[in-house]
Amino acid sequence: MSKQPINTNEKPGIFDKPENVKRLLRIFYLCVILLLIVDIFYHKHTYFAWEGYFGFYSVYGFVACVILVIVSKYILRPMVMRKEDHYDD
Amino acid sequence: MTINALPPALILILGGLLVPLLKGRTRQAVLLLLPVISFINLLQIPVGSHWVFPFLSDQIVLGRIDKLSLIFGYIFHLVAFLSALYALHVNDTVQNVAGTVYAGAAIGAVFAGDMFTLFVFWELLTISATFLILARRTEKALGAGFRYFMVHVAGGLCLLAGIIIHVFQTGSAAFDLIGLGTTASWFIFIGIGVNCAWPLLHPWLTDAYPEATITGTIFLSAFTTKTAIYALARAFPGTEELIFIGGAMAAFPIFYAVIENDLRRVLAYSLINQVGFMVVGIGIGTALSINGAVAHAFNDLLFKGLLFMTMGAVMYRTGKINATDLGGLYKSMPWTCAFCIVGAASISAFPLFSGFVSKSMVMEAAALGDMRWLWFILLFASAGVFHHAGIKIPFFAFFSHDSGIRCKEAPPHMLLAMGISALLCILIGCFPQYLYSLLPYATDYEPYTISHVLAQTELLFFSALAFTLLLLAGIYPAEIRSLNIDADWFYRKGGRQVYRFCQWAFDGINDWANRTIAQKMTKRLSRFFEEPGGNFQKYGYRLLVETSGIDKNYEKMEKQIDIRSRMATYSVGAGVLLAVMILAFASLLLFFR
Amino acid sequence: MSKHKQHRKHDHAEKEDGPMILDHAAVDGYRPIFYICITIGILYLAFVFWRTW
Repeated sequence: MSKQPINTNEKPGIFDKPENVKRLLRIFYLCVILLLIVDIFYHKHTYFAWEGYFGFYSVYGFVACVILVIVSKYILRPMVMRKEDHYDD
Repeated sequence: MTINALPPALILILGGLLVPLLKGRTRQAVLLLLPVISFINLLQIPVGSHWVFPFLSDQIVLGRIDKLSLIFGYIFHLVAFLSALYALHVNDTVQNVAGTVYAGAAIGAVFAGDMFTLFVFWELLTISATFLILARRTEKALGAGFRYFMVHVAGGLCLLAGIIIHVFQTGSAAFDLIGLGTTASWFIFIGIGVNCAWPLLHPWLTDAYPEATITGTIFLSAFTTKTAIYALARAFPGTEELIFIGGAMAAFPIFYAVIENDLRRVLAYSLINQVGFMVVGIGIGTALSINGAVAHAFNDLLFKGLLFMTMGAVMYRTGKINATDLGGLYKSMPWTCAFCIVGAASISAFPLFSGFVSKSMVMEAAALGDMRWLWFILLFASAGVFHHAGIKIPFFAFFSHDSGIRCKEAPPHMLLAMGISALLCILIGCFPQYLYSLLPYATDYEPYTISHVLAQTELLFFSALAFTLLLLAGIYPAEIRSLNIDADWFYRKGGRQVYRFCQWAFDGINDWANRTIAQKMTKRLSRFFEEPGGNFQKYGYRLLVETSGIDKNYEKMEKQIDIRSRMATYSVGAGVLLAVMILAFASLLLFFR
Repeated sequence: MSKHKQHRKHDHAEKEDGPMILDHAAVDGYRPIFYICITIGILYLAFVFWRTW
């Protein structure tokens, strides 16, 4: 159950092969591009004006996540990160 | 009226208390059957108020059955059963009893028709939950359990204070719409808020849930916060303050979740984030938004429970839960991995998964109310939740780098519990009309419009794209074994500082008093009173000499006084004068003592 | 009883050992792509809000 030396006879998992990871990434990028193409041809029913712009949700999702990660890493973490035994004294 | 059923909470609570008498397979069977029997019992109770007893000048109502309480009752039973199934291997009386009673208390609270009954079950929740934390039996769990208990006792007292004032002012203990305004309502509001993990009141959750036992956390993640959501939906729908509180709840935990290393703590933060959506829904207060809040509570119980189950299974098999230690487990635990992905897709609100059909109701209610800032925050939180709960959890546990850990798949009963949860997440996502028919307000809401599906898919795929690019560009923050301070700092470190300050201040005063009064003063006084008459003269004379500057014969005079007082060779008049002076001095001392 | 003990053991995540940090190394060529994407994204969002707010 616990850590063992990795068995060389073990059947490699699908993600052990780099070409599989690459293939998966390529499929993912293709989906992303397809979504944008669909977005061009479909006009959404919206509540707010900005929702109707091309790819609004895509760009918002992307930018939101980048901001989330950057703020967490460069602002929040320096403020709050302590050693694991911070409270044990 | 008479009905052939028992009060809804009774079976689980009494049954739970009888569990210690049973052993082995019988106990396992009873633990599994109790939620089932309790559920069948619930189905026998018609809509209305039942088990009404006079109490003081008012009455207590053990069973108020309406649409709002029923949907919570149904899902609580379902989750109680799934949790019991997941915890089937646990042969620990404390956990067996606490888990069952905890579920029973939550059910009792949602069917309580008056505030006194609500309060009793509210406190029972706290007590039984504390045992689920303490049952881990580690030093950290002990500390976390203690803090959990203290915070909830404080919250409970706040609630009780509000209830008492409310009953005095209105003359009614019925637990219905209260609305914010009076002092009493604020007390009740904040008392509920503690259990609801509002910002700044929240750290008990992220502190205690990751320290509880593997199976205890499954129970914990379900009941306390959702009971609070029920109470808010009952007493404070449409309260504007809840919109701000809920918005903050949805937004701030995701930042913490990104940098947190303990995967169960990541889930604890995302639990607050999801509860934020429900609080917002209750705050908006339209039929659509309340429906959304309740439906989201229903779904969250399933997918959050499922995610905690998968992480529990990983911890059960590997003994590890930190992202730094895990990775590559998809080969060892393929089923757990698949269920985890279903849970992740549900919490992220992918179309065809359960989160999609409920979160969108809250979003749409915000848009209909033209609350654009709130809408942006919720959209941000939706993207963020996919980022930390939807991707981070499965990715770091099951994929990422190969940690070298090889373990067995989770045991069958755990897989079964996870499998049922995952199946329900998909079923609700594909056929939401069954869930909608249980909601408190009738609805013809249709989540699957092309606009909506396309918008949500875009949002999620591009969140995933952001994750991929950040990771491959090396910008994604490293997982670091560490501790992130949160609002609990105020009572964990701050409390200690207060304690230290008090120690310094009061011990200082005590020390000073001890030194000067108890030791020096008594010594001096006793020396003085050895020769009171002589000393009086001596000090008086010394004072005279020092002030006037005449010091001839000073030493001679002092010696003379000494000899005279030792020999007691005073003239009578001088002796009496001295005695009177000493008495006066002594009485002065006594007076000021 | 022994079964009970065994389960108890798993309840304790072994936090003492294990790596302190799990870093994510950059893959060549991705950083410029990322910078381009985020710049376009922010500019586009700014444009959209400028037109519609």
